[in-house]
Amino acid sequence: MAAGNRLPVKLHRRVSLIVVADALLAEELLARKKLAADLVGRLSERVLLVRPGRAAAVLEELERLGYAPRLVPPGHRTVE
Amino acid sequence: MDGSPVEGPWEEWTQRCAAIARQYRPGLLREIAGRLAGARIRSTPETLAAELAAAQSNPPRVDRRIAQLSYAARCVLACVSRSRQPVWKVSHLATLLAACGFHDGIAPQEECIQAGLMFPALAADEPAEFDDLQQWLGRTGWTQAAVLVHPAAAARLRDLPLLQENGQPLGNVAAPEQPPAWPEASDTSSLAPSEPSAGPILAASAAPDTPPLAAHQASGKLPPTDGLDWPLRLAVLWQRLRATPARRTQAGVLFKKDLQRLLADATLQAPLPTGETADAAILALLWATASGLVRSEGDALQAAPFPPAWRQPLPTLLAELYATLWHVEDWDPLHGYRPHAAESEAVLPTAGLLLLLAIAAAPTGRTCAELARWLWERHPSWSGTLPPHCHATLGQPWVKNWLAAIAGPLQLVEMDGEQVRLAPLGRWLVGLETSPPAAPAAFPQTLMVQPNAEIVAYRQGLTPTLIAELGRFATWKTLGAACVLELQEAQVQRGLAEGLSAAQMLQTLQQHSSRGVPAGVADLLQRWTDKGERVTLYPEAVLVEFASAADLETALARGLVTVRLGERFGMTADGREPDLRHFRLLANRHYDLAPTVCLHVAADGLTVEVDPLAADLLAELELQRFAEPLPSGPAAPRRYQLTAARLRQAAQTLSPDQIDAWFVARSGQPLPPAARLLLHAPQWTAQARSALIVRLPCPEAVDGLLQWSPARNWIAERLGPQVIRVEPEHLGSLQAALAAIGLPVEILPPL
Repeated sequence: MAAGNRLPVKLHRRVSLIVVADALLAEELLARKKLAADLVGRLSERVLLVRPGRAAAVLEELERLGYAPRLVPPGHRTVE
Repeated sequence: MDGSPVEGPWEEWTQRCAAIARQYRPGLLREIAGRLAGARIRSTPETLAAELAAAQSNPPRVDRRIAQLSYAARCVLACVSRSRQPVWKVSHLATLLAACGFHDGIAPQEECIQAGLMFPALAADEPAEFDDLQQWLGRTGWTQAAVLVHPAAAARLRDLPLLQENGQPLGNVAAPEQPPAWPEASDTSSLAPSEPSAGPILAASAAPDTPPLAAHQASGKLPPTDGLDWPLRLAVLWQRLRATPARRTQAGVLFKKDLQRLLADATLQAPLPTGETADAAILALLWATASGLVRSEGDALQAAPFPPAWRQPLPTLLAELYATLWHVEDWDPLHGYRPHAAESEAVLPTAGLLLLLAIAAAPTGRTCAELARWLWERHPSWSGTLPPHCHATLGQPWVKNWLAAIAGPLQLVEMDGEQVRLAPLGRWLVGLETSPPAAPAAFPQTLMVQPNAEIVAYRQGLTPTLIAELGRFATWKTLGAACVLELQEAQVQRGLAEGLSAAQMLQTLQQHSSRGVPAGVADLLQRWTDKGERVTLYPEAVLVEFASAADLETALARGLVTVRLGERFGMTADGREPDLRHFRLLANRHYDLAPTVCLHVAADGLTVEVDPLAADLLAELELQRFAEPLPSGPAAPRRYQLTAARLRQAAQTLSPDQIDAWFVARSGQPLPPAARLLLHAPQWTAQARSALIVRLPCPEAVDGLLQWSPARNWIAERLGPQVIRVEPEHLGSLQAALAAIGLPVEILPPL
């Protein structure tokens, strides 16, 4: 660790991901066949990685399945 | 801040004028700025443009220039002033002038531009400097070109009487010395349009023999309006488009599907208190687009944030709608939606404003018949757009429908049967009053939230702000004296997605509710909110990958990132880029770029090593479809082992070509042979048995044997370039034959 100095990091930009409330919900989402096709995998037990370019399709599918996802940032989809 | 509640802060218009002026030919700019602003000839173009723009808010300078303008030029500025819309199409202004008796084409506008009181609405990427209005119109097109008058300059003309050619004042400041040239109310001997004259056009007051308004027995009174009809419809439209945007073809026409959807919406199409409105939903859409409540993104029409006027009292919002009304073209009071009418048929803005100006000239009121006749005689093209059945009445149905659909609900006019006169708001907007009418009295507790999640909103207490707030999380169902909304999960979730919290929604309901919010409704809101927070999607987040878990902890402790995504990954709360001053960037990966080679396959064909700098998040996650992680030290690159189980499981959903393509993209080579063996082994068969093989010194020897007639019958099979299989009973014959030609066969013991 670079104590007191700048931390060495790698930045991953324009990543699409889903953060869920618990690991069980992550399993639930991965079990949805159509949704799983647009997911790359789990970054951690509550974080799922979405394939590049598939965020809109995932959003639509989540809404269709009744999960009512929160979008961050909020203005990304429609309005303030 | 200088400005007006209608046109907004003047500073924004000043900047816009300066930006346009910077696109003038330098010589032209110097001339105009010198005339209006007294700018020094040697100033730079930027300075000249700034001074010219700043002079718009300098009343003495503006008044001096106005005094030097021709009647026609002043008339065009006055029309702009009274419309409260600073931007007008050149063609529309020419039409207004023609109706006012000035048939000089664009000459008055050119004069205003040369005087520095009007600016061409140049695009930021204009190909050439502006030099001349005619030239610019030739490049831009007559139907599209627009001009701009700074509201501060226009305001100087709102009170000024507009002079006619015969000296009669236009407007209604004073009674004229001569009787106005209005058609007599009783004169119905000919309804044919008379030759338009250049005489008095907007006479100052009522004809002496016109009975006072109170004595008219109207055929039917139209109900007074509270001004909320169009704000409510626009709010409903906003909500509908937020859920499903509308789309337009390349020609700018609404797609049939969206047109039908909007026209089938009972709430949007509900009749106004003043009567049925043709294609009310589409008028709402066009008006919302003109007023900025709906924005155009490509071919989609989407809900935009509510403009600032929606946070103001109702008269201010109505004034904003009045000003933006003149940018609505594709609607007709008789026909409804009329997209892309030819320029000569886009009469709505000019006919509407002329009607208002005509009504303004007659404080005691005019009948629809008089207004229609005046418009028929004066407007260059309006009569040509009317259907034949309106000709007999000189277009009265059009006028009546326009008044009932727009002017009445917008509180611009008051209608008492046939008599029409300006309402207080209309009088203020056209400059006959100096201050707007007071906002209606406030009745904050105007909602009734029912246990079934319906909300009854009584109009007496509705304000633009409350209308906008409610529409963000409750669905408009019906409009009427008491409007009905409903709390629905989808609408609540949209509100949450846009940054509203359940607490804010409850607060809005409680503040305005006469009886509080039922516990069940509050509970419902909370349940939907909790559901909405279970899944969060970040469409374009920036992830920070730390070298170690300890570094991530340090970053969290220092607040550099706030969301932990894994052992070594973190993110800010909103997913945006963190402050990079605290980090040393080792690598930067953009996920909208193509995948890069970041895996190295070892010599055994099954061990894969990850390049930590080149690898992205997808690489390792996808690799885990084919391989299992191997233990590795904290500083060592991560390694994986391709396994038969993982490869075969992946093959259930991926084709061999897809697997090969992935390996090529990530490792630079297709699936290694060893991995291919693990993958396909179950589909292959192998056999083992003892055999007698003969190895020859070179492939040519085997070729010769296969061709040589005695020997070829003794060869069972060619196993390789130099190896053949021979049945044991033929070995002796083959050995003898080869010995005869000088190639002895040495018999070796078994291995």
